[in-house]
Amino acid sequence: MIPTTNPFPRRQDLWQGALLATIGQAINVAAMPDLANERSWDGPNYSRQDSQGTRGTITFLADRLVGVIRDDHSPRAPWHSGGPYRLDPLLAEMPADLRTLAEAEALQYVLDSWENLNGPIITTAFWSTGEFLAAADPWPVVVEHGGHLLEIELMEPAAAQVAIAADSEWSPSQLNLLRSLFDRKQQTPNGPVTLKDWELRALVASGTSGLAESQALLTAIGFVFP
Amino acid sequence: MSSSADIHSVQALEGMRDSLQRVGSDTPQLLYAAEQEIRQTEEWLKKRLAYWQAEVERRQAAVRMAAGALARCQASGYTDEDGNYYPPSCGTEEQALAEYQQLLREAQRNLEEVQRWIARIGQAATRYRTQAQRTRQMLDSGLPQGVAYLGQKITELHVYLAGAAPVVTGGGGNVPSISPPASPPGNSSSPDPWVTGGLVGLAAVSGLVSSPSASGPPANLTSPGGGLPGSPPGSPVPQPIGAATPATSPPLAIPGGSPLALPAAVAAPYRYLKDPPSVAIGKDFTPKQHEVLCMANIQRHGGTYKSDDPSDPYQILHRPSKSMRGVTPPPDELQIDHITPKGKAPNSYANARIISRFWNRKKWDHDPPP
Repeated sequence: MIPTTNPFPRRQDLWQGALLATIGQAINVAAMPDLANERSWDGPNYSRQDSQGTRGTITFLADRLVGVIRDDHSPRAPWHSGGPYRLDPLLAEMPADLRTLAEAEALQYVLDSWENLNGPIITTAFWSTGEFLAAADPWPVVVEHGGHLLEIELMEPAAAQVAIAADSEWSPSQLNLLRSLFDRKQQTPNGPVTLKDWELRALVASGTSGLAESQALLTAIGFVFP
Repeated sequence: MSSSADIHSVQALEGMRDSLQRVGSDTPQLLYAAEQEIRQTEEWLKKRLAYWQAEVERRQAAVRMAAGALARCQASGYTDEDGNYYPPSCGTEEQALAEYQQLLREAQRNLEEVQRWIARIGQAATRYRTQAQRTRQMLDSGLPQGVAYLGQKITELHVYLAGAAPVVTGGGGNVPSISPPASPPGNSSSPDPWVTGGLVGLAAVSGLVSSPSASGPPANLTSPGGGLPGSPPGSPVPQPIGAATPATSPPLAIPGGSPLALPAAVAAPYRYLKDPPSVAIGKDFTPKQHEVLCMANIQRHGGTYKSDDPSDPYQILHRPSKSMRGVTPPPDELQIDHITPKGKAPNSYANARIISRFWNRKKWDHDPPP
């Protein structure tokens, strides 16, 4: 991650972070399938939940992205704000093509209902403008109202690897697996990456009950099982 | 409080309490690990069963084919013009059939072996699970109560020793017998204000009683008027030892004579679990904590996820689903809740509970929800 004066994260860093977090999730769910809801892919849509009240979806295209997040504990949530809920201020200044993309994709994953309201409910949003992300708010405000959900995804990769391993209480071999898969994905960003035998063994070392979920996650980001 | 008390070793009681707490924190993880291992073994055996069933079928088919080949071979002999019969050479086919039959027998033996192990593991697992369930029940109910009771008594003893300026009156051997100071006049039947005032002070210092605000006492020790239960509105709050005059401190009127309440501990159903080292204020619960909490919850409730808040309108809960296009998540999805909001308290198991999505949303940073 190159130091920058722009306070917003880089689009490419978020993409790499999503890949890394997905691999970490795949390693976790192999033995803990109950966590499968926390990170998932549906085509270009990367969805993240924390099972604590925050969820969001990022639609990744080759050269752009749009992300939307709802933090149930944010004072912006209609059940807390009390006033009428309005989506538009959160998407202000979003380019028209990305707004269309958001409405067709990411926003479809954050539906909710509150009193007479049924539809997408979010508390923050961001999108790409070239190399960097942008939002209607300063980045710290984005983080405050739900962006914290992407803490791992926006960490520097080496730090994220250590954080994932610590939070998941992994063995050294699981951390090695994460590093190996992430490094090989970096080296072959567009082509399929076939799991090696030792990687597959390490993946199922602590359990196989969630292997199907694990396989679905890795397949979604270009890995192939032998 | 007129009789003397022989206090031999509070440390021994503390050691016992710590041991019980360790049992409470370590055992669920051991049970969880054992259950995971059993499940993995059962799963592995199921896979082996399917494998050998398929293998038996495959080898039966191979035997049939080999038998057919042998029959065709044996039928291929011929008789010459003189009537002499020349039997065919079917050694290869015979050998193949024998080998396939041997392979089939081997597969059948393995299948029987797997079936036998499934039955044995199943019986052992049933016996283990019955015992584990009893252990869990003990951990859920008896042990926390025992630890809390012991902690309460230890606190009382500490207060008694620290606040009472003990007078050594002598005793057998090298164990001193300690008498408390004389009771304040007119207070012989109510809880000793030395103890009660000191308890609140000690508890506040040690964190045993969590105060909802820095300026006020714990809610359950407060009367509607803002003072102590049984005291007139506006009565002063007990101060830590040394800050109040014992004889003038108002006594606590506590039903059942229990001088100490532990509201925060009672509301924390997973406080017995051992925290990971990375616990910190402002941090979300980690994936591993999710797994452990969900497992602990389902074990507490006999295989069903249930809300840990009796006020939650959704008592039966479900694991959250993955985010899906066009789908609104149901209100009865389980969520992990920071009992005290995460900006004010760490992601400790002692600050965790499982409630419904509906209730968590309603709660925001209020407890109970408004």
